[in-house]
Amino acid sequence: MEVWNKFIDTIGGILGESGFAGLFTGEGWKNLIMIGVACFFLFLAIKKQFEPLLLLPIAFGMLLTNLPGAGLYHPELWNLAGGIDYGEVLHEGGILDLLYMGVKLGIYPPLIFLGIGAMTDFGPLIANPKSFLLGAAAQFGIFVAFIGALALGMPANQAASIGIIGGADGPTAIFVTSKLAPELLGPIAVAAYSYMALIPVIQPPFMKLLTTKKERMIRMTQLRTVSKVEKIIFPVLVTIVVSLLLPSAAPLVGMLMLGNLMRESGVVDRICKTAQNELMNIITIFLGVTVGATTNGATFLNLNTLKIVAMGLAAFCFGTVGGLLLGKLMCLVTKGKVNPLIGSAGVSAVPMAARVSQKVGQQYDPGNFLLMHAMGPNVAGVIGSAVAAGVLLKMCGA
Amino acid sequence: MENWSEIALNVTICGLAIVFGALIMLVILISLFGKIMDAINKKSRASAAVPTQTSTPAPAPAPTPAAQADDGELIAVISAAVSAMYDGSGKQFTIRSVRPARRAGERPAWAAAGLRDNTRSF
Repeated sequence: MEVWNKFIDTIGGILGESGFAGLFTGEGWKNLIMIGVACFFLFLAIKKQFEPLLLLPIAFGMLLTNLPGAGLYHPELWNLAGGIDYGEVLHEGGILDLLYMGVKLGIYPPLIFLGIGAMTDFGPLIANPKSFLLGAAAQFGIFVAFIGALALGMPANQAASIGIIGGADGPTAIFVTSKLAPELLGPIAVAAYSYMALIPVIQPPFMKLLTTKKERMIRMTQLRTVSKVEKIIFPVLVTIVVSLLLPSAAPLVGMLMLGNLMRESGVVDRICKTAQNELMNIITIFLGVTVGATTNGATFLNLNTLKIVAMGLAAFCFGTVGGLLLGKLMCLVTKGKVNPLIGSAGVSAVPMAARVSQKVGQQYDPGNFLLMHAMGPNVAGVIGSAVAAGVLLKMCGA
Repeated sequence: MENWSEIALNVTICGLAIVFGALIMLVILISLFGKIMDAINKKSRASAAVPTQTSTPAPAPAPTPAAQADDGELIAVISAAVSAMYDGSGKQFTIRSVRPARRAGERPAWAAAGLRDNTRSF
């Protein structure tokens, strides 16, 4: 009889501490909803192939963090009022807490930029430096979203993190948000990567609205070939100029240009290959899972997330509009030498935005090959969004 | 404590100014650098151009006789293809002239098709 009672007690105790109990007590229902959302994102990633390289780790991180009692991620360790106690993190933290340190300490985003720089060819930009202006104009969306978020009553640091979604650059958004408003990291990262994947849907309507048929059919002259020396000097020059002008942008721009220099110098092939492949893949896994882990039910399911989703969309739309309007201006000033469609490629989603410019241009003139011309503003946008991130970090940082 | 619209205006104007300023500075520096590179390259190309001039006139006469013979065959092939197309439709036709189709500076059709195929994304 004793044995039977003990058995019932033990089983009851185990069930009481199980995750199932956690789901149905207190705030646990939010975790249940988030598990459902995570499964939906997994479906999108696997079945619909919606940016699977990022969405799969993010969705699974979302799933893991919302399992009560599992202890992989503890939001309370990172939201301490008196600052983060890393000793506590190392003692009490689960695997996702330990990996999240790379995000919090600002390690992963610059390393991803290293990989991106190693994969990027800045040739079209060097051949036509005016593309830099289009890359700058597309960052207009960042500031529109910033103003919008402030108008909705959010404090400056949160508004800046929401605004940087308009930079269309995942690592930049994560870098800024982890420093300015880490409590919003989950929704902002999910919003940023989702809108980047939706660029082929978001941009074409604006491109057709703001350009005339004649402008869309403009064929641009062949880009001049860029010498090896220019391609080597470019990353060094950009790093020096931007870092001296705006030191807060140095981590992102510096690593981007280091990666590019490794690629263009041609003498460090081994480490360049690693940066492009293995390093990128490792950091993407860590970043994806830990960013997904921050989407705890309590922090994700509130009004702020809706504001972030709305402002994020506004940021992308106005970024596209800003680039297109400057593209039109450049077309006017150069008397029709610049096709305004490449302006929308200034949002820094490489190479998706350039391909959208190519596709829309080809709809009106099948022989019009805009891809290389659009790559100039596209990669300029990467630098532009890193500079904008530096500005926001400087002006809205504590 | 500034209200939100003041913060908004301040950050937006300063932000856009700094972003544009930094990138314009880069535009100027890179254009300048491009011009310097061009000047250096022109000097080295001018000295290399003189020795190669003597070798080019020799191969030039050879291709032209072959090209004329090919033209005759080409016209014959095109006429055969056109007649095969019209075969059975009962229509009469005369070939008045045969001209290359592409505009100056445009890619040949196959090259354009290959380009389009390789850059197609979605």
